[in-house]
Amino acid sequence: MRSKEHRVNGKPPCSLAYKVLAVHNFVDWRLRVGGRVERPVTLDLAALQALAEPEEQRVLHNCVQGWSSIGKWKGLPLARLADLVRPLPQARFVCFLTMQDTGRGEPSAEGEGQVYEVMDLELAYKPQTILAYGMNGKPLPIKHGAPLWLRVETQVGFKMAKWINQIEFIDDHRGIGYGLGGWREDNVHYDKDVEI
Amino acid sequence: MNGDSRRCDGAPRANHPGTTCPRTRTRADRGKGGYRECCGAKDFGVGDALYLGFLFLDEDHYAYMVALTCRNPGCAKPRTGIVLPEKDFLS
Repeated sequence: MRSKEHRVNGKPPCSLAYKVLAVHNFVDWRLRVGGRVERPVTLDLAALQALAEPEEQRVLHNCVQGWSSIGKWKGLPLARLADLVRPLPQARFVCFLTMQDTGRGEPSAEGEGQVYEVMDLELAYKPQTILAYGMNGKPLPIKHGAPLWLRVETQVGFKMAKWINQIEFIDDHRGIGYGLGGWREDNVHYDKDVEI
Repeated sequence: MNGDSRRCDGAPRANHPGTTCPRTRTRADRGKGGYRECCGAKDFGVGDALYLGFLFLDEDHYAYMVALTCRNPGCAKPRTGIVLPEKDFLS
């Protein structure tokens, strides 16, 4: 069972570069993974998908906005990517950088700067944490974050960054944005460590 | 028009395989409104069209992006696109 519609929060990046990537089905998209790691890598979508058998999970999402939806997600367990790049002992957080730089994470949340989110490193190893490239049996739609949407089902929805093109393993997030651990934390005063 | 036919099915697409769309082809060849940042060549293969209106905050309601691929084998960045209003290429 899954819901017919999954509410869309946010709008895709407005940059011409993103639109060109999208119209060509993200052939030229690359994910850069680095920071406090032994082995930084750059992957295209096919290489990312080939790293491990896809993880599929069906989740009932209850949003604090007042809606709920059952979706089926398919993607790479973030733990497999961590296994590949091997975080150094100093790494304490994972920062997800997105192509969304319009200063607008969603219609009701205006701010400034590139949209990003930070989460504790330990969450990368939870089995529910995946880099989703598929949704409900199809490739991830643009409106839902194509080509890559972080699904971290043990956390609240705003931590699930969309339109990702860079992941950094970091020891400190205070120098990123306004230092509060995410675009929404910086701009609309959400709490980085809020839990469900 | 063949919506949801390929990847990124959050937006409808119009498929124009090869160079079967003369008006798009002419527009691309003239280089009007195109996004061509690499070699400057004017010979393109024409691919899918992606609906931009509504989905993107900065686009007109009737805007599409048409995929263009530079045919110059030496082009370092062959994949590009052109934004066109629906009336210019859908009949």
